[in-house]
Formats: sequence, C-alpha cells, structure tokens
Amino acid sequence: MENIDFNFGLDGENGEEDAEEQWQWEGRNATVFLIDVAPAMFEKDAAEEESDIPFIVAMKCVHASVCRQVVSSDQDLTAVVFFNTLNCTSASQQPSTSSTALLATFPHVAIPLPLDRPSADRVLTLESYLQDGRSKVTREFGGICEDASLGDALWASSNLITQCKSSLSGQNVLLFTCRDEPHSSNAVDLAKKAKCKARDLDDAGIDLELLGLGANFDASKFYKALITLDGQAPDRSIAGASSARLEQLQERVRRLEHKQRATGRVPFTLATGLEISVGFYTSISTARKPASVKLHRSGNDLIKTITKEYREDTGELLMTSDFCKYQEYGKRKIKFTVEESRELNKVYPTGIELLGFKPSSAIKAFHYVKPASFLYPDDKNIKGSTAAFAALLTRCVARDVVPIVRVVPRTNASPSWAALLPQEEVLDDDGCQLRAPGFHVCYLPFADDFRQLDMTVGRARASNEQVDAAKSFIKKLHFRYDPSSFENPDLQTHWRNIEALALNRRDLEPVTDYTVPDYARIRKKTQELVSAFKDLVWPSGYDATAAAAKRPPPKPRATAGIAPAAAGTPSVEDMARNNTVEKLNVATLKEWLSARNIKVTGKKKPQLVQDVYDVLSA
Amino acid sequence: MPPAPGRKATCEGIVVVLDVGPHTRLGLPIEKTFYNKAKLCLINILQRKIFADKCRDKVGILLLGTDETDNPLAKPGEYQHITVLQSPREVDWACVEAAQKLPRGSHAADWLDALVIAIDLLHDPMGDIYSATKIVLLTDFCADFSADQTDVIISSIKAIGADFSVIGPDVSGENPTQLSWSGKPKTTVQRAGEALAAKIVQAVDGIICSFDEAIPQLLLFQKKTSGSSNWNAMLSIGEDLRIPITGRIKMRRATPNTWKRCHATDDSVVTIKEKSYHRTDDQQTAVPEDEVIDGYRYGTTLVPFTDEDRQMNYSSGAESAELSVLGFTRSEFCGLAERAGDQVLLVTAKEGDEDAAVALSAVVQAMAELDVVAVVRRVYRRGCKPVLGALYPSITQDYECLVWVALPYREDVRALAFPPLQRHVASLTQQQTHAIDALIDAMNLNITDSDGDAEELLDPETVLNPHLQHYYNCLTDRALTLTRPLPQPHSHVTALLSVPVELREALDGVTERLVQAFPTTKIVKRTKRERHDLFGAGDDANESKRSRGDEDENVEPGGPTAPPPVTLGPRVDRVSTATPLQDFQVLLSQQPFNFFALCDDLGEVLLQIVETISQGLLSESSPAERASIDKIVACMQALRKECVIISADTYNSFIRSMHALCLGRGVLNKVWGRVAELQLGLITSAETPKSSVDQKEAEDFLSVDVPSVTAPSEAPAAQMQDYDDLLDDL
Repeated sequence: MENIDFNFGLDGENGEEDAEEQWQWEGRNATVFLIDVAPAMFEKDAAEEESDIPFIVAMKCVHASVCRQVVSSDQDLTAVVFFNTLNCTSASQQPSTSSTALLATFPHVAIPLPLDRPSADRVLTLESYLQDGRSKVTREFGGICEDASLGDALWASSNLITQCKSSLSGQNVLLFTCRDEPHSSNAVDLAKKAKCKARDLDDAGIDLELLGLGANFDASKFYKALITLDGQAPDRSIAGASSARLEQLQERVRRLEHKQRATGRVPFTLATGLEISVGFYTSISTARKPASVKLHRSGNDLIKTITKEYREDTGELLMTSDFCKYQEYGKRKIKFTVEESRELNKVYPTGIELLGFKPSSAIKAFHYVKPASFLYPDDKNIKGSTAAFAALLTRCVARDVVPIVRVVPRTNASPSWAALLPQEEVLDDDGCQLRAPGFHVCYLPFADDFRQLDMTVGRARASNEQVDAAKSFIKKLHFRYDPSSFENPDLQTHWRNIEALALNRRDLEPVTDYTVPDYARIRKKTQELVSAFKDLVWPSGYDATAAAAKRPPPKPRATAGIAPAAAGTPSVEDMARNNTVEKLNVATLKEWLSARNIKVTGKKKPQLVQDVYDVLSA
Repeated sequence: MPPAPGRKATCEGIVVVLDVGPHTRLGLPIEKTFYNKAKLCLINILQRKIFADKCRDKVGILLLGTDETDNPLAKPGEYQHITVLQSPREVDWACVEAAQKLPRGSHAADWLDALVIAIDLLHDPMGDIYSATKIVLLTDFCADFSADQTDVIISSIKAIGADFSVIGPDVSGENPTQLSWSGKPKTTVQRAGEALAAKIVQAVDGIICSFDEAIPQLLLFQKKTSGSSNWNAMLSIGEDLRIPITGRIKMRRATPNTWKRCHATDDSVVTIKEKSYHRTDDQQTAVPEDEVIDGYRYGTTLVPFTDEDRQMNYSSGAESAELSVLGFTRSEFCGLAERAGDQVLLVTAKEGDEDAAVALSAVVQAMAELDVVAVVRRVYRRGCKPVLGALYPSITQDYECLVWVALPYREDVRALAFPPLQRHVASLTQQQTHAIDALIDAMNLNITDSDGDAEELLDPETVLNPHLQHYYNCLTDRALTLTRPLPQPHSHVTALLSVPVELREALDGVTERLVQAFPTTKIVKRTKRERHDLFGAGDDANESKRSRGDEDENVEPGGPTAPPPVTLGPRVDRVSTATPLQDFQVLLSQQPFNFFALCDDLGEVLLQIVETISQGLLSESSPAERASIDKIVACMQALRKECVIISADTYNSFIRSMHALCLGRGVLNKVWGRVAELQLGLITSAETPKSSVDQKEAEDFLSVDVPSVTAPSEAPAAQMQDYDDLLDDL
C-alpha cells in the first residue's frame, strides 16, 4: 500500500523512530522553582499598569511549565519552594506523610510542592495559588515577611535535589524575585552565606538561574555576583537579565527547562590525532499523542496487560528467548538472535568523523531525511574541545562552508551522514539568547533514499508578465515564520480534553486551529491581484476543480503490447512465421509497417495484418 | 490478441556464460585467477538478484570448458564441453551455493558456441516470459573458436534484443593487447578472441569491461529503485486561487525490511497468544476484559477516557486532500535545520493540465525571485490530521516544481540554550585560525580532477547506505553458513562513508599543524572509570581483541580514533596461496573464527597449488616444485592436527578430494609419497572417536593407489569424472 507513505497522523510505521526515542532517555530533569514571597512580590509595579503582580507572574510561569511537562516530559520532576513565609511548614500538609518530613527545615522557607512528577493535584494546587495569591500563602504558611536568608532558601532547594532517588540528567534551580537586594545592606553575613551556598550548588552540578521580575530589577546590585560566582562561572548566559513581560519570561523558562538535556556525548574526530568531545542534542522531536493505558472500570486503577505465548501442539509456555528474528530472502528464512539483529547496525564505531567540506550552497532543500540534531562542545570529557569547536564554527561561517560528517550517535545506532550547518549565537534586545551557538546536524540522504520520478520535461512555463502578477499577491501574503508559531491542533485538542477530565473543568476552552488559512484576510488583501493573475494565466472559463477531476491522459508506456515490438522487429517476423500476427496490436503493426514505408493511415486492423503477411511473403 | 496486461512479462532473463576451462586457473595466487574473479562476479550477480525487492528475474548459468557436455544443442562433435549448470530460473540460495561449488573444467570450449546456447536459453518470441534479456560473458578467450557463426550470433542477439556484456579483458589499460590477466603476453588466439568479442559488442551496442571495473560495482547491492504513487490535490492560495497539483515522494530513508519473529529452533511451531489483564497488587489479581476501560495519564494522574470523550477529538474539517498556503516567508526564516517529518515531496502541476502548469510556473518563479518559502497546511486525505509544511521553489533546465518538507509544530521544537562561545572565538590565535583554514582547504569535497573537470565527492546521489550493504552481507553470510558469527563490515562497505582517498594525502599534510594548534586532554572521570572497571573493563579488552586481531594493531597504531576494519592495510582475512600455513595459523588464533570455513579455504588453496604443479608451470623436479610440495605437506600437517581434535570428517573429505585431484592431474606420485611417509592419510577411529574410518581403510587409502600412478601423464576421462564428484563434496 503506497498510501501509507503519506499518513503522518496514524500510529505505527514509526517503529524505528520510537526505538530511538527510548534511547535518548538519560535520566530525569529536576527543576526547583524558588519563589520569593516577600510583600514586594504582591505589589503592582508602578511602571507596568497592565501587568500582574510579580508573584502571579512567577506562578504563571510555574503553572505553564508544569502543564507543559504533563504533555512533553511527564517523567521530569519539579518542586516549588517559597522563601519569606512566616512558617516553614504548611497548615494543610501532614508532615508525617510528606516527603519533606525527611528534610531539614529552615526558618521562613516553605515547600508547598515537594519534588515530584506532575499530576492533576499539583496543577490544581498551583491554580489555587494563582487564584487566591497572597491570601492562600498566608493561609498555608501563616503570613509573609522579609526575614528569610537566601542562603537557607538555596540550601533547602539543593536538599530537594540531592536527596532525590531518581537518576537525574539535569538539575536546575530557577529563582524568581522582584527584589534586587534580598537582604538589608548591613547583613553582610547573609550575603556571604548566600554566595557560599551558590558555590555549593555549582559544585553539586546544580544550575542556578535568576529570573528577575519587574522592569527596574537591577541584577548588578547583588545577584550578578551570586549567579556568576564573582565571575568564576561566566558561562551562565542569562545571568542578570530581567523582564517584566510574562511571555518573554515564560519563553525563557521554557528554554531553561531543556538545558543540558544531551542525547549523548560522542567523540568528534576532526583528523587523526584531534578528537574533541561534543554533546548531541535533540532539537526537533515529533510530539505524539500519548499511548492510552488500561484502567479498571471501578476505581480507575491501572491494569497491567500480560501477553503469553504457547505452543499450539504441546501447550508449552514460550519465553522471549525461544524466539529469534528473521528475514526472508531467496526462499530461505535467515535467522538471527535479537542481539545479532541489533549488531547488524554496527558498521562504524560510535562518534562523529569529519569527511570533508562543501560550500553551504551544495545542501539543497530536498536533501532531507529526518529532523536535524544539534551539537555543542563538551570540555568535561576532553579538555580543549570548546576551543577547537569554536574555531571550526567561526571559520565555517566565515568561509561559508559546511563540514560533511559521518554520524553514529550511539552504540548500535545505524550509521548516518550529515552536513553540519553552523549557527552563531543570536541575542534579543535584552541580551537573552534567541539562537544558541553550535552546529545543526542536517542528515543527508543516501543514494538508496532517492525515488526515481519521471519528471515531465518541457511543460508550459509562465511569461515574465505572469510571474510579476504572481509576485504581486505573494508579496501581500508575507509573514515572519517562526518554528514555534504553530501549535499542533490535534495534540492541543487531545490535551485540552484530558486536562478537562483530570482537573474537572466544565467549560472547554476552544482550541484555535492555526493551520487553517485565514481565508477572509487573504481575500481582502489579494482578491483583485489574484483575479488579475487568473486572467493572465488561464483562458476564460478554466475551471481548476473540473480540470482536477479529469483523468490525465494515459502515459504512452502504460499502453500494453508495445513492449514486445520494442524488443526488435524480428519478433513480428517470427510471429508471421507462426501465423500469429493477429496477436499484435494496431500500434505495433503500424509502427512495423511504417518502418517499411507502407501507408498505414486509415487502415483497419485486418488490413494491417494482411499487409504484414504481404510484406513478408513478397 | 496482445498479451493481457496481467500476464505481461515483468522479469528479466539473464544468462551468465562462464569459462571454467583449465587455462582460467593458471598461476598464483588463487584470489587473482580468472576463475576466481569470474566466480566472484557470478556469485555477486546472483546475490544482488536475491536482495532486489520484488525481483522475479530469472538467471541461467552456462559453463564452458567443463569435462562433461550437457546442453540442448549438443551433438557429437558440436557444442562440446559446454554445460547448462542452471536453466534460467528465479534465484535462490541454492543457486548461490551451486555457484560457490563451481566445477573446475579441464577442456577448452568455444565461447561462440556458448553464446549460441545462451541465446537459445533466452528464446522468448512472444515476450511473455521476459521483459528484457541479458547475456553476460566471462571468459579469458584462451580457447580456440570458430568465427563462422559470428554474423548469425550478432543478428540473433539483436533479434532477441538482449543486452550483451563481456567482463574480463582489460581493454582500457595502457597496453590493452599486450598482457593477459595472468601477466603473460596474450596469445594470438586470445588477441583474436578479444577482437572478435569487441566487434560483437560494438555491433549489438553492448559493454566490455575489466574485472577491476565490474567487481566494485557488483560488490555493492542496489535496491530496486522505486517510484512513488501520485497524490493529487489542489494547491490553494486563498479560496480564489486553486491550482491542480500532483505530489510525489522524492526522498525517504530506505531501511531494511522489518524483522519477523519465529521460533528459534523449530520452524513448524505454531504459537497461540493469550492476553490477560491484572491488577497491580501483590496477587496480580486477574480482571475480566469487560471491566477494563481505556484511559490516559495526566502526569501521574490516571484519567478514564470514554468513547463519548472521543467525540471531542480534533477533526481537520478538510473534505478532501488539500495543500493550502498560510502565507509566504523569507527563506532565511525557514532554515534547513528546522524541519520535521520523514519525507520530501515534489509538487508539480497535474499531469496533462498545461493551464495548471503555467499558473504553477508563475508561482514557482515568483517565489524563487522573491526568495520566499510558502508555509502550507497539508491534509493527505479526508479524516487525516493536518501537517504543517514548507514549499521551496525549485527550477531546473528541464522542469519547475515545489519541494515540500514538513515543518515542526511548536510542541516538537526543543528550545536549546547554551553558553556563548564568543570568549573562545575571541581568544583564537592566528595559528589556530590558519590550522582550521588549512583543514577546510585540504578537505574540500568539490575537487577539480586532472582534466579540469569539477567533481563532487560524496554526492548524496551516489553514496550507498553502508548500513544496508553490511546488512546484505550479513544476511548472505548467515544464509550460506548457518553457524558462523556475524562478519565484520567489509572494507568496501566501510569505505563508503570514510574520508575519500582523493583527500587523504592533503589531509595528512595538515594534520600535524592542526593537532599542535589544538591541544586536547582526555579527562577520565573517576566515577565512570570505577563503573567501567566493575562491569566493563574485562569485556572491553576481550572485545577489542576479538574484533581487531593482532595484525591490525601493528599496521595501524594511529590511535583509538581509527575505525578498526577500514581499508588501512593488509589484514589476514583469508588463506592465501603465498603463505597458506602462516595465514591458517593466524586465522586460527583470531577470535572468532569459523573452523569449517577456514578448512575449506585452506583446502581450496592446496588444491590450487596441486593444480599449478600438475599443469607443469613449474619445471619437473625443480626447487620451486619441491618448495610447493613442502608447502602443501606442511599445511596438511597443520590441518590434520587441528582436525583430529575438532572434526575428523573435514580432513578425511579433504584428503579424498586431494587424492582424486592428484590422480586426475597425474601428480600423485609426487605428492603421495610424502603423504604416506608423514602419515597424513585418513584420520582413523583409533585416533579420534569422531572418525568412522578404520585402520584397514586408512592403510588401503595410502598404499593401494600408489602403484596405479605409473603412467599418469594423460588423465583418463573416467577418472576425471570421479574428481568432479568429489570436489562437489568439498
């Protein structure tokens, strides 16, 4: 079935890709949202009349982040920690059952949501904070103050992460505050303690990021030194940037979530003797609807499905090890063990190897087989990697060339090859990163992947005038595309439905389908230009729909019976000898006769057959 | 009545004519003989047919130079020593095995006669068996021929419309007519034969090429090129402009067929699957199926989802296939790095609708001139989910089209953030910049050859997927030798994705500077190493030894970066005629090895040496001949020693073939005396319980035949036949 080729929406067909997805699992990401709840957080910024109070802005970020996790990475862990609460334990939480009971408590630091995977309850808890704001915080933790030590808050956050039992791939603490001076100016001890804790976090491999709220937030007063460890951790990109705009802040949180999520680290061989280490990152991965699970009708408990296989003849239970994999060719089943069938992928050692360079123009739009990956150097395995990588990147940009490489991202991965598209860092007006520096790994097709298509040569082409008419309406339909501008309407609808059930929502928000063209707007902007274009390219009365319904004329090669004639004229002679010329079709007969200068026009088949016999007997 | 479309021939008919006459095996080493290369070609032709998808092509094998005569045209004194090994039929592994056990003939035969038979085998006047026919001739033209049928042959080849290829003679070299494949000057007969073959090739528009040209191509498998079905839709730009178009898949990764699963040891086993549902409690309480409902996870929360809930699922609203433009964006905003999906479509105006073609042409050209890309919604057909995509204009001399590739949705994009590299860029020294520039210059893949023609190395249209190549090789290996471990990737496969040979020299010139400019230090993490020591170290060490072997390490000390099996130098991977004993021993010491395959290899080499002696290439009792016999005997000693332990039958079967060959070639007395003297006869049941040969039989085998070799100079026909049968067993 050729049709299946086009079915993006259907499941199956993607067995291999799914297997690859599983391989990318390196551990969970743990994120602690550390939120200041000092009174200033509940005051409106005088400069930004329209916006929410800082606390709500922060909680909206957290809420969006947790909702996103449900959809895209529900194995990841999050926690919410408040500092500057009056009490350190919640009124509604039972200390004995909560996992926080194991943790040391710090004055004025509270943990409304301990580190865990996302769930409906957690989303609802966040929503209650969003709804009630300050009164909810007061209800739970007795009130708010300005007395917390930032060092304690960081300590509590890092405890959550270090005592987590899952293996973690990324660990972040995102600090939200609108106060650029957390401690009064005379509290030198507290500032020192905070810096000391920040260093501990860095040592433990936990990234501390600051999200300053409010337009007037000045990171240089206190936080810059904390985040960059007095300049010793200069690779922190977002340090000190502040924003009052919710969307901008949410976007930044979104980027931070994906930080450090390397699919793997591989050696990159530039030449014999020069091997650097690079991290391999997934930049595009098709999000699919989640697989459904089986539940018990009463109680909604999870039900396990067990499939067993038996021999029909003996009834003996068969184990996985009783089976092997096979391919059938040349009338033989060629069998391999499961491990061997995986081994077959191994043609080259794991890693990336430079094969050469091509001008960037050599990579065409149709050179595409699967979504690109991303490379960023990693000095933690091989020191000096970043320097060589940076040199290669900037020279490739300067020379307008792309490295061509062989790529084996993991053991047992089948080999691939790619062009490395260099990307230099791009910052927005606030100095926040829009595009990260590194190479895009754009996979190249193999000769086996090209389909042979008969392209009809020499079809009608448009005149300059017609092209200009097309340009006029194309110009009107210009927009700036961004890879994150379109949501998948199918996924959005699905998750809206699940979310409504999980969170007991009554009213379903309609999902906007951004993939549907805005016909009204297009008509308004282009109506006249398009009709002018149609008048130029099409004869009056041309009906595209009717033309589409018409079957195209059969291709000459589809006509049966011509093939034997093409094999050479003698076959006609052979057939004449056997008195079977009648079996040939008219086209063949005409061709054969025309080749012998016999007139064929207007003759019917019996006459043509007779002519053949006449020619041969003559 | 013309043949009904359903009955239309879809397969090709191919006859491979292969010369197995005595002259094709003259000389050493074994891998370089004409016989061996021709055999390799034949086997590869057969294998390619097996792996070509949905291939119904029929292949026949015709041997010339055989001891016997077995062909449909044979009459006393005519068409002699030509055997139809296989009439044209669909290729299976049995054919490959037959080709591997190709007989060695001892008579010369007329290759023109063979062509006549080949044409006869392909006779298909109605065209309802074969859609096309092909004749491949592999001969070194040593045998006499009579040219009187040449014109008939030419007209017959033309009559059946067959493609005619001759593989073997080196006609492209500097002195095409001077030397034969064995390095000796070509004989008059050979020169005349080649000239005649060239004349036929020219007359029928065929191909003539050498092994060096043919083998690299035959070694690689090519999937039967597939097309694409048409996807007809309307390209709409707003509601008012709709252009009928056709989309066809241009690109999609070709992968191995999906694996099927069967019982490992017994093909006849039928399995029954039973599905049951259980609670996740300690008892795993079974739950009847009708109490199970569907649900989804919302994080850790479980949400039941009923059919009623499904009513709210998304629907695209499209009534039919559609391709709708959402807008146009500058091409820089729609980079090649941010695309999704697994295929590329070419979109052209609907076939036969030239009005549509004009409209599409205008749009394509306008887009190209404005340097824009269209962002479109594509619905494959009613009921399918919409896919976002980009249309890129593409204009060539022959046609204009739009290239469609899917774009990611917001949910698919992982926003990546990394620390800036500016600090490192700023501190680059001039030496470092120059080193990278030198690397870029040295490794430019768009080279200009000596004739001044530009050539693109590693062009995607020509680079075959090494994974598929290795996969086919592994399947072949497993299909033919059930027990052998998977082979290592062949060097011709690994070469597909390696630094092209053309660049190696230039690369070597810049490497040192580059390594100096960028000092690197590997950081060994303690935790990692500890983990390694606990679980991995032992295994790793074994593994590297197994896959590389000592030889390799000596040749390539280039460090851990060099991929182990790439073409880097001589590796012992099979027994050669030059140093058979040493090779055998090295291969035995390498893990893993296949004992039986190894013994077969050694046996084949020894028989080849015997044949060389018997053909009098070495003068009587010369030191060279004595050395050859010493070589044989030493090998036999080694082989026998191993076989006594592992498989007596293997040696016994070998020594019987050896005996028959010596007898047939009349050199028994030269070799056999030594064999008897050193007690290298059959392995008896006294030596190992694995043998079924008793003492008496062994003694008879060694002694009885010795006297009968008093007049061995001409080989009687009856004995030749024995030899053939016995070789088949080997």
